Amino acid sequence: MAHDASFNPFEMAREQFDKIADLIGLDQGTRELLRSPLREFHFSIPVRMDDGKVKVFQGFRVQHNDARGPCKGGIRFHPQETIDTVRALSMWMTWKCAVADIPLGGGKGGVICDPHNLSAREQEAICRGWVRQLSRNVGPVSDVPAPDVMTSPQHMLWMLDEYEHINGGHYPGMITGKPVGMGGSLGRTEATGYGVIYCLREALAEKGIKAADTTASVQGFGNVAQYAIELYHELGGKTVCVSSWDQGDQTTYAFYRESGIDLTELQGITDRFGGIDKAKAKDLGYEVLPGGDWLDREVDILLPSAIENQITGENVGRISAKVKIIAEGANGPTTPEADAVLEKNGVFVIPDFLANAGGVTCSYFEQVQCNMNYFWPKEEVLDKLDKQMTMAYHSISELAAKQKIYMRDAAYVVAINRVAAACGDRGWV
Amino acid sequence: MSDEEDPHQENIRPWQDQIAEMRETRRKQFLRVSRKMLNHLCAIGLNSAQKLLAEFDAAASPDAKMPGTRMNLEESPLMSGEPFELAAEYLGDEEINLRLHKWIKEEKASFFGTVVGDPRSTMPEIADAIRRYNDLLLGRSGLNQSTIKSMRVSLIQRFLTEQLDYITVAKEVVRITDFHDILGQIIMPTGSHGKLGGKAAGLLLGRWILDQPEVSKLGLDDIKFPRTWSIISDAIMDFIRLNNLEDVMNQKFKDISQVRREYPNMVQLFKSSSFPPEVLTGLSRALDYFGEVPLVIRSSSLLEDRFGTAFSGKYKSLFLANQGTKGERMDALLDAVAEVWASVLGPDPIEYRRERGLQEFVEEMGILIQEVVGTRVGRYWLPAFAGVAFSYNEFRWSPRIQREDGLIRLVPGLGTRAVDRTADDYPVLAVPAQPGLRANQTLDEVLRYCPSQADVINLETNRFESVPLQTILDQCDGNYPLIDRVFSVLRNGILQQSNRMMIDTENDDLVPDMEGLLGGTDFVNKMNILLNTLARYMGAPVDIEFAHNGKDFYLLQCRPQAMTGDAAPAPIPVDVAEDHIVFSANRFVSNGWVPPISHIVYVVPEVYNQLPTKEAMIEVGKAVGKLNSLLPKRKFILIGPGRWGSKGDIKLGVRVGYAEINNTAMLVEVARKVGNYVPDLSFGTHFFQDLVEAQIRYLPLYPDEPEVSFNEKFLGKTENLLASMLPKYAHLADCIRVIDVPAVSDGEMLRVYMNADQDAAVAVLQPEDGSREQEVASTADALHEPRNFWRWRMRAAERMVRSLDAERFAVQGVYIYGSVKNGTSLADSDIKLLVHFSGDERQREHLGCWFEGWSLALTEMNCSRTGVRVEPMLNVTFLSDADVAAGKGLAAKIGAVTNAAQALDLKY
Repeated sequence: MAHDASFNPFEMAREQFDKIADLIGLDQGTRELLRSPLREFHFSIPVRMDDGKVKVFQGFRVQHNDARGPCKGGIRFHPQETIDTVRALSMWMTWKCAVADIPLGGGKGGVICDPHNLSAREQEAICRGWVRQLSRNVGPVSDVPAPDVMTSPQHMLWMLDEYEHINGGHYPGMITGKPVGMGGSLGRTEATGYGVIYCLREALAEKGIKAADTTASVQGFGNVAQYAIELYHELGGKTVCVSSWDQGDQTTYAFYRESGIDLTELQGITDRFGGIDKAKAKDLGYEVLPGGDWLDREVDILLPSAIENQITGENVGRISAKVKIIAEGANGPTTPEADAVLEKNGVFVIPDFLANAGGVTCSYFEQVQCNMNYFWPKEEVLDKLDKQMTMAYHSISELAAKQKIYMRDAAYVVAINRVAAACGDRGWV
Repeated sequence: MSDEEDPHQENIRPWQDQIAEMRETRRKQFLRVSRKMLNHLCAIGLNSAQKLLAEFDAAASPDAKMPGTRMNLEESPLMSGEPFELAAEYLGDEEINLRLHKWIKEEKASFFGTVVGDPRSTMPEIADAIRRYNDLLLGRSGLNQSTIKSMRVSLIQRFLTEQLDYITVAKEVVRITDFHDILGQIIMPTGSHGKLGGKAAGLLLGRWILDQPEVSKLGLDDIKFPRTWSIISDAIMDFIRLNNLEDVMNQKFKDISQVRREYPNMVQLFKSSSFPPEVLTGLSRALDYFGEVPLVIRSSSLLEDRFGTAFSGKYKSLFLANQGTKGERMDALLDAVAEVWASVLGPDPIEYRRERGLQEFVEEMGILIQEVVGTRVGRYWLPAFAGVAFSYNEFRWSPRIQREDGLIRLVPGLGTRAVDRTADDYPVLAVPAQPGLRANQTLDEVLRYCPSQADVINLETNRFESVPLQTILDQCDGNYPLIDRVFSVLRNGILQQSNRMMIDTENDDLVPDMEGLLGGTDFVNKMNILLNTLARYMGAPVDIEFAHNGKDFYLLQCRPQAMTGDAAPAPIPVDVAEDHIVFSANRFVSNGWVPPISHIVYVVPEVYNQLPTKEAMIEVGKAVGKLNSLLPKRKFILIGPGRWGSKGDIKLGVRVGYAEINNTAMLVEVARKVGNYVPDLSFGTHFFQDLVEAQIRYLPLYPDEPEVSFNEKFLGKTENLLASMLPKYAHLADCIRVIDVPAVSDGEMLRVYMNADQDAAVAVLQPEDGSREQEVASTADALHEPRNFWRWRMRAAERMVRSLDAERFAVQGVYIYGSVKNGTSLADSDIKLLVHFSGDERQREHLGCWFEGWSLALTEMNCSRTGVRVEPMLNVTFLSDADVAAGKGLAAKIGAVTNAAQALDLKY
């Protein structure tokens, strides 16, 4: 690349947008509107520190687009936050909500700070200060923040409390990511992993493959992977390999058993971080292989559910010809070079921002439940999630099939079209 | 001036009778009292008294250069009673009476001074004198302060230590009666001249300081001390004499391998010997005193107080469950005492003493028998939490933390896990002066870096064990002490403080993050007050151990914070030529020993920032990870821009995981000015606790600040090995510079000296065994240079290869690589050889046998030196001519650019 768009995340997001805009022939006005955020707030948050001195923190909120509904997006506490990162992330939130087809727009915010240098009281002061600056511009019907990098449900509760103080009432729908019992939604832990499999199930059905006849290899054994495997097994599928990080050896291992892994059995020898005890796994009849070997298994389905940049131009060739579907549970597991190869080889990829949209959809459900102050049982949440994801999946796969384009591109096309249409319908462009 | 009233009253002159009687019957006492009166009169400024004293002194020493003439005391003005005549003239009777009374009382108490001050007095005699002093005088001796102080000093010297620093502090805080309080719990043979040893001294001092009236106002009065008995240090000598074991004391002169071989026998010999009767009776009484409570038998060596904590941990500390019949408990106790005594003859302490020239120091070892602070939880005995705390913090994760803010390391269960560093477990950290700051912020950090196991005493198996916390919780039936302080509950992805009633140990996911204690109580503040108070009295930063049994907080150990070993401030070399300084720093410097550095990996900040793509930056992280696995462990340092491990904007730091930096000796973060601001550094927070436990040092550099050096010529212009080490990453050579320090500096190594006292650090190029090396060599070097494990291996390998008949076996060359070649061998390292072999099958078979024989012999040698059995000791790889020519696999090490295998001389 000639210039350094890859460093400026906002430039990168714009490039990606431009590519799709060209593809669908978006008109100039809409293009200009969507290339930039609708609103940006930059403000100072003075905080009285524990030692009595005052320190002023820099806060942001970017509302990229709210044509489809209130903005939705996290608040990051990061020492090296830049406005362009926040802009890019807010734009990506717009597309993500649109892909999942939930009536929300995109936003993102943050404060430049490092919580490692702050006491809990100081962090609370930052949270309350953030809300004081923005109380007129966020809220259940305008912009709904959520936890993100280095912010937690605790931070969300402080923010909610400040908002409710200012507005003199209870507005739990002002923010999401709250603990269950304090306005949080059930089903949140399962949402992302299940969402991946709802999409996979639909993809298999489209291709006329029975889940029971398939095998899968999974990268990662954290929250997303474990719930994904659980639901995949319920559908009758067989997972033959999972990879996990070994804290002691500081490397990853792949655990392979031809007859299929037993989820409960493996969970019994796994720590909280998804690390599998390799000695015990051996005793249980698993072959312990180098971590990268999850990729070259003779399976029908790959579920990269760990971290980004795992399927690359270098290793994409290791993928077996048998693999038909890759469902991205992780964010950005496939690099553009690998994408090109997969597309050429006709591997069906369910792109990350569709496959793992279960999380944001569940946040939406949290907000819905909060707004009516009526909370659903877990089954109801998951049932609604299934319906939402299934619907979202089909609109994209149908487009991909009809236009014969790669699934990732189809997802962008659908998302951008939806947002553009909303702007148009409102008479903005 | 006199503190008594001075009511001039007539008619009472009984003192005159008294002194008259004294002059007749106790002439020496009369002289002493008379002299005291004269001194007193002088002190209140009476001219005639001063004249009298001057006369007296002039007679005694007429010339400073000649010995004074001896004065016949009978004729002296003192004997004549002149001072009293003057007193009668100028002082009231009441005052004279009072003074006289006091001086006579002092005379009565003088036995005490005589006994205590006499080096020939045995400890039982001194103990007896203390008892008499206490009983007869009820502690109110009427002795003047200076006499009392001198008594205190004598007692401290006899019981505890002759170390001046200690005495200076202790004499201000101890009362003579304090010694009376501990007498009952000291086991001493008749004729003993021993002491209680360093550990006992430290603990007692802490206790006395906290007993000071002004200290109790600070809210520290609820701190308790574990019940303790001591065996005096020379009891071991009685034991040796009684059993005719005098020979064993010669162990220390034997070859270390012999010592090691004989040590197990020594332990058995001690265990099967009989105890002196006083010790037996004492131990039996101690058991009755303690009851069936677990005990720890700790060495309390005389060397410990002299040479700092470096010596602690060299001798044994044994835990006893102390359950069962008295007979069983007694047997176990005797075994433990014998074993701790025998540890004086252990190979490690002997070797350590030898290295330090302390071989001839008479090693009498005191023993402390202490109750283990704890409570029964199911079948285990453990404290709710325990830990260590330091006045000085050498591992700061935030620029807000000052070195003086201190550090607490906390664990559930016995404190052994907080004292030692464990590879796969983490204590909870807190900073006493910054109670609000936490090293771990996100849920993932908190979960990853919290304790997973606890050290406990299993009361059923009578063993000391490390068990998963979950195992303890599973069988505690909800009764873990202070459960709501030690554990938070993880519910729906958030950690919550719960109260005792609401915690369900069966179903809740409990996380020992200690947040209930750190955030929910004033514990951290109190620790701060405690550390500050102890440090103020001791005039030095302190290091304490503590435990909480659920009811009370106990102080288990208290001593000056060791500035030796790892934590010693390195003397900053001065007068180093500018071109020999690679970098220097003067902000946020911690103490920490860094081994000699052979390689530097420098990610050039300006070039990194200009890299065209994000992918290129990710590649830099990957290349660093590769270098981490190639370069010799702990012999290289990483220097790079901003935050290592940054997960945010990649431009602000190289993206690596801990696995990609875990072999470095040091992580250096460079903050260069960008425009007019200097970016924040991370202080290693991404890997903070991993760095702490692995003792990887961290240093922030601010090259654009005045008065610091940053040798861009050396870092940026010297030969770069990157391309030859990692051809695949050759295109990053402008960005990543790999410098082989000795290769570009005439064999010099990089030494990094960090001194927190001066808040200064400097990295200089020095000859590996140069003169400056010796000048600044600290004890740490000796501690860390793996005790010649590699040196003898190398010598043995060289000898072996020289004796190899190369012609007969068709050997073209032998190369050594791995830890022996790198000088990093440990006790369990093998010797790795590459043999370039060009013979036939038969020759190869014979050669294999030849090496096998050597291997067996070397295994034995290593075992006798270190006690570790490595089989096989020789790791030999045969390479054919083709292998060597192809240069693949291990053969690539021959003539490699870095970390090459070294050729050994063959006899041809």
